Amino acid sequence: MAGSSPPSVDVVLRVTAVRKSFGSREVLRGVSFEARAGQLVGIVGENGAGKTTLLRILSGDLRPDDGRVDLLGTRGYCPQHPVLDEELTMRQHLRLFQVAYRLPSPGRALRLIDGLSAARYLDTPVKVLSGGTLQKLNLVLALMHDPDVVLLDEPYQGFDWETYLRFWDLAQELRSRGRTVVVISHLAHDAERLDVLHHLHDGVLGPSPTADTA
Amino acid sequence: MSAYLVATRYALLAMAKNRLAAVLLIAFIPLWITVAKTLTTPKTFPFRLRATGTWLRAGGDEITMISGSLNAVSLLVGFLMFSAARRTRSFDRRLTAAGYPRTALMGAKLTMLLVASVLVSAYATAWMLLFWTPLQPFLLGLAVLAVCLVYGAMGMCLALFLRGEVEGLVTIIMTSIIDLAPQNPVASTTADKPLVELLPSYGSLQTSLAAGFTRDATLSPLLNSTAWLTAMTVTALGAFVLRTRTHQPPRTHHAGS
Repeated sequence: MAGSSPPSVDVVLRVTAVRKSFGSREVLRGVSFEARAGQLVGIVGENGAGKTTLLRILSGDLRPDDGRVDLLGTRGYCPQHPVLDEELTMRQHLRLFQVAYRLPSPGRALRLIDGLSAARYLDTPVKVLSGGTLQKLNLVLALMHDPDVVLLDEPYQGFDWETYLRFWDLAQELRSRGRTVVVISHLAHDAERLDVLHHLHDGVLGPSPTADTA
Repeated sequence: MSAYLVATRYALLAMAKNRLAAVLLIAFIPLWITVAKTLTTPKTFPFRLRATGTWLRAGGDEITMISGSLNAVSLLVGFLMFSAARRTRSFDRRLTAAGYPRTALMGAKLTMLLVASVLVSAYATAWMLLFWTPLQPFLLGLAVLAVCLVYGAMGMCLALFLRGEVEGLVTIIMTSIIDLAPQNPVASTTADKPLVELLPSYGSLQTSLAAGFTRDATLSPLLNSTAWLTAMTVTALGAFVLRTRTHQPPRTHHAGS
């Protein structure tokens, strides 16, 4: 686990007894947790454990059957698979999301793209980009408005090692500025980078013994 | 630049990159019109124009050209709009969840439908005018525009439940054939079953025939097109609103904490 949390102890995300079923299959059976400002929270679990369902509920994409989600401030959501318009370029995506987030300039987005070594693809239609580059854009669209709570669903899929490390630098930078980052992963390799690690198993959340997820 | 202008600009740019639609537009429409006009019989057929009840005579080649043009433009605009709606389905959801005004995106979609329909109908009408002088060319253009709008809106509706591009294209082609074939005066000189009036292209075909072979400004069949256009546009936009709903957790801003 990373060192002590920043001094702020504000709870910015509170998830209370969230339940979700798809047909007769109960995916989430009362998930509860809290995240504070400046925390890096990891959620791990086996394939099909409901991690993505949980994040989609936190992002507002899905409605829980029961329970509640309280979120303080703005939110950025990076879906598991890049959700982009294949006919547009990276720059056009940034422009659309600049409008969506009502940002006066795309400056932060361009810096993020640059930091992830993707600036040379800015004017390339995304349909010809590699999976890793698409994922960089997918991530930047979730971060470009500098949200208070960042929800990332396996955000480094397709990244090479160097970009993977840059991603964690970025996450640490967000954390140091008091942002809350919730990362979903099925890897436990990142455990030491996180402040809190939850394990989603059988539809409920518990503290994660590392061995369970390796 | 406003949200509407940005969305419209990108929607039109993306539409312009649809290569299959471009090939269909540039090659298929002139080819259909040329084939219909040159290979079918110029022998005249008597037929009853259902909209006015009058009996007319017209060359089989001209009737086939009209029917073929409506067929070609409807599947082209239908495919174009289907393809765009299908491509942006998930992306629109993400954009609106991020705060993009839904009215701006809906406005962009309607603008795209209008622009595509005007361009395609003007192009197809111009090709028809190269071969033939209808009595009311402007009314003919209006009838072609109407079928483009109806099928464009239909393409948006089909994208609600058809996943693949091929599925959409085949469905649009089959619909256009089933729609136009029973109404073609060459095949059915009376087209006298009242149900014919319910077909999506009824308004355009009747108006085109009236434009080609009468001097009557017969606009009433276009009410049929208007009803189809309205029903399908409302369905497509209603579904867009439902699909882009977000289930926002209560959000407050930091209040001095």
